[in-house]
Amino acid sequence: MVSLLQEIDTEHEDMVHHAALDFYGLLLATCSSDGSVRIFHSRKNNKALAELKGHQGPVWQVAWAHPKFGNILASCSYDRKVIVWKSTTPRDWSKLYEYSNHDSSVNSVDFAPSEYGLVLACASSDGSISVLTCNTEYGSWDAKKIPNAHTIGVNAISWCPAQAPDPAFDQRVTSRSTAVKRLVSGGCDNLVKIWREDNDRWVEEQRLEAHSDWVRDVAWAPSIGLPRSQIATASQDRHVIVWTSNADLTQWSYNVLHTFDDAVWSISWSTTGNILAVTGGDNNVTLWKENTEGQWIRINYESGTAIQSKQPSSHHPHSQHPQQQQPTQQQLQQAPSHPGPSSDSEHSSNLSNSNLSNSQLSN
Amino acid sequence: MTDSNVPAFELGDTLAMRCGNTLTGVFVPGSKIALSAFRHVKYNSRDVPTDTANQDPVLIYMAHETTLFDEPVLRSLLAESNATFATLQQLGQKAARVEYVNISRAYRSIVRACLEKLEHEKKSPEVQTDDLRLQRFSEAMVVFYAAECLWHLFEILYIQQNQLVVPQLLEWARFHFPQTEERATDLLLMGEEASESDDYWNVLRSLIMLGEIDITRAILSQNRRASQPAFKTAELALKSMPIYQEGYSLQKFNSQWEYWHMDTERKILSNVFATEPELEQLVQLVVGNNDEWDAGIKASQDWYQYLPGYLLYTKPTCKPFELRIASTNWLNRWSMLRPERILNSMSRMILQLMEHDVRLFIYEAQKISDTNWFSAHLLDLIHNSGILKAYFDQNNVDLPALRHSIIYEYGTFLMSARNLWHLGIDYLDYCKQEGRAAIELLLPRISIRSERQANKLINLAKQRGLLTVEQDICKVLSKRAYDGERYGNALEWAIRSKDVLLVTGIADFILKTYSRTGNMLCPDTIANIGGRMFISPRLVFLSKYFEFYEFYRNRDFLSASELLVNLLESKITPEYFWPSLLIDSMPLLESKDPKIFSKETVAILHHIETELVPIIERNTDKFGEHHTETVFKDYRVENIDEILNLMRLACARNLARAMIIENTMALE
Repeated sequence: MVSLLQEIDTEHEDMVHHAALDFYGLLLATCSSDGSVRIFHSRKNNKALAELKGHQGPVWQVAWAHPKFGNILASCSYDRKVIVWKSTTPRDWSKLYEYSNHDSSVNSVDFAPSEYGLVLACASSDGSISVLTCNTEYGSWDAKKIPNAHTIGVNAISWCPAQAPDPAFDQRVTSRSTAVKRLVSGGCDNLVKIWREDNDRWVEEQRLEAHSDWVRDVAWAPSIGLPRSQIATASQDRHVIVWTSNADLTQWSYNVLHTFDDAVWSISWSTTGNILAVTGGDNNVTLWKENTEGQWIRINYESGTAIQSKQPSSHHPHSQHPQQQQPTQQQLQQAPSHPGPSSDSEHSSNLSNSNLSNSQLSN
Repeated sequence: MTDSNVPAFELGDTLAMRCGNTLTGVFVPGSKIALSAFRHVKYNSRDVPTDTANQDPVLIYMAHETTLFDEPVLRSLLAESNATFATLQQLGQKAARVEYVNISRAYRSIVRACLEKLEHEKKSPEVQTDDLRLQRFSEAMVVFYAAECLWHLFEILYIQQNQLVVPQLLEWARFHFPQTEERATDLLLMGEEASESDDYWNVLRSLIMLGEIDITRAILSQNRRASQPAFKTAELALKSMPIYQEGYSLQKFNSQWEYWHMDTERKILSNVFATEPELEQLVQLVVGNNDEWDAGIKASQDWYQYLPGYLLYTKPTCKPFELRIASTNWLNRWSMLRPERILNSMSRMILQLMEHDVRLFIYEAQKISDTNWFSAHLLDLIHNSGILKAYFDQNNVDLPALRHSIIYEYGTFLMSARNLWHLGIDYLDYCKQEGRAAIELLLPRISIRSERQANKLINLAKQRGLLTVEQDICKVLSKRAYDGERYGNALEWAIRSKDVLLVTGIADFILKTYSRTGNMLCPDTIANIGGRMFISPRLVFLSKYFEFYEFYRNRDFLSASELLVNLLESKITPEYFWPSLLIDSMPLLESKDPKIFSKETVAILHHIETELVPIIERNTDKFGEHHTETVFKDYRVENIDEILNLMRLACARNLARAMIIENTMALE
């Protein structure tokens, strides 16, 4: 069962494109089409602590750096700029660095694992990827560009975690020492590419082909101590693919998670990489996990226990709209098709209420 | 369950509905998902406000998997079961069976204690006035009541492994249907008047069906008509009913039992009880009369309520494997008589246990909304005690893998929940390399609220050899202290993080601040660095310079001079500090009573010419202008040329004085 913890009114004037919580889950950063980034306390429903203005267009994504570098946030925008922000208190923010060496909208930013230092990767619609490295001693930034990473544009980028596999498990740790930096990117050429830093240069290490339309999101799974790596990719071809590698990342095999009803826009791994959240045009957020037999199974939360959201009408009286009926109807349609505990007596509704059903035992 | 009928939750966000009802969600730390409305923007989209701009509030929703454990009362359940879990891990797989039975009982008594607390707390005004909490309490009570009931049955049938199950099953049924016993106590206290109660015979029938023969006899003996023949005969029949005890010869018991049965039935047929029809019903139940038991089934609360009692009177020596058939038959009978009742999942799970369908039982157990508390602890006990091993092997269930994944899930849940992480870590410790990786990911994400907590986290990381976690925590604290201008603290944590760059950076900051302002930051911390200074050459310099600074302040000029000369010779002086260091030598050089020997004076002069002069030259532009502010941030420097001359002069004078004294001494 999933329940709603809180609702945060961002007071952005336009659509929010991304929201990210800092490392400890205390501060929430949101970015919007209105060109601003806002900072909130994640546990209180209060007003924004700060509004960061610096972009002249919609801000697509925000990313937090590891707290050992201080409170640092990066944002990327349609205005071709990447801005790195720094704060001393949650209310005081200033620009630390501005990067404007892209020829088109910058779609995605991601901070590298903190072991590599303060390093930021940016993906742009001009087809290139930039890797910005900060020399924390002198506060200077160095930019390296991967030109023509994907024709027409790069949509998403994600770093490979730095942890090496457990030496007890894999004797060939040298093949993947922590010093090797890797990135995965997805683009408008329907490709997913893995990049490796090789003597100050970024080289294409792998080209993963399986999507038949633009790749919208890529996410490298957190390392969970197994001698393998996983990458999830989402595409407009309505597929989410989970790619699994061998220990030294030379062989990749793939598994189509599911064919969704509509394009899939974003995917996200939980902190420990055991659950994958998928969101797309079918107005659903679905959660997936791999069972002990290596199959991907959708986590089943039952309909009766849907998120208990306050009715928008009672909440915001001005938002009465005919379309509002839509979700309710859908819920109703779904309810009868779902057999099981709803038919139970009052005693059991609690007993069988949730949970990860097929996950452990395939029945 | 197939994908097609998996229901989904909907938010009903107005903004989302306007733009095609599309949502986006990302996982955020703490196992939460942040959801918001989503509208796809294409590469060729124009940069204009969207159609929906300024129309609806732009909301972000934080969702997480519901858990009962937000309620503080349940914390003790988590903490105590954590301790029992740890004990069990120590026992491992080689302990005696009785040890596992004890562990099982320990888990159950934790749940029982928790249920009592819930019951108590539920009545408190704070809970009574809060609908949400009240609901959560009721839910928790249902869930843990079921957990206890199922665990108890599991213990009887699989952990204890008795050859006889009826006595334990009776105890189990009585415990979970306590109302009859409560009423019986009332009746006993009422004495003779009891028989006037409306439910007198109902309670007695219930008692008999729960196998409470002794209590029934006690109540009957208080009856006003207890001395009448019918009552006397009943008393005798009940009293003489043979009860099988382990160790008895089965054959002997069977013949005794057969005899008693025939004898009692003969008494019924001879109309001994004709005057007391209700009493006759009781005796009919005892001899297993089907009509009477059917009536009992119709009055029962759940299908399994009177099954143990029925077995007592019809199959007292029932073995665990015979229970399978008995329970199926009984349930069929129950369903025929109560067609309107549909089994809820707890009743189903009880049947699965009695029918020995443990596989399905475990599958259903994972659906209990207790965030895997029940399945994780029970599976762990099954795994460690080695029971049912053959069963799982036959059914192709990889029990170790199953246990591992559930404990991993439970551990990750606790570890990512606020305030419960210290309980979660113990479970993840038993999840091999995946558990270790999860700890490595989750431990540094626990927000650090105090130094004490930080030290606790560091110790946990240290115990597990998670060096990066340990160091990252130190680095974060160092950075935080630095940003908060607590430099001593920042230096202390930086040293603990063993990050040379970080330490050097902070030492630089302290030295630069000193040369600029003459103000030594955090002297207490620097004084206590001691042997740890060797982590960074810059820190060595800082510590040594600080020593000099202290000697100088305490007017121990001889030691100060010696140390200063050592520092000058040490080759670890940062470039920016040369002016400051050389200026420091001036007062010592100018001292009337020489502190610095001639050889050292020459060395100082040498440093002035080889270190200071090049710096000045490098910073002098072609017009001969000094950019002193960029090189000499020293608070004492105003005119660099003048100072340079003064220093050369000071050296010369001291050299002269020193040479005179040194040579005089040599002559003597």
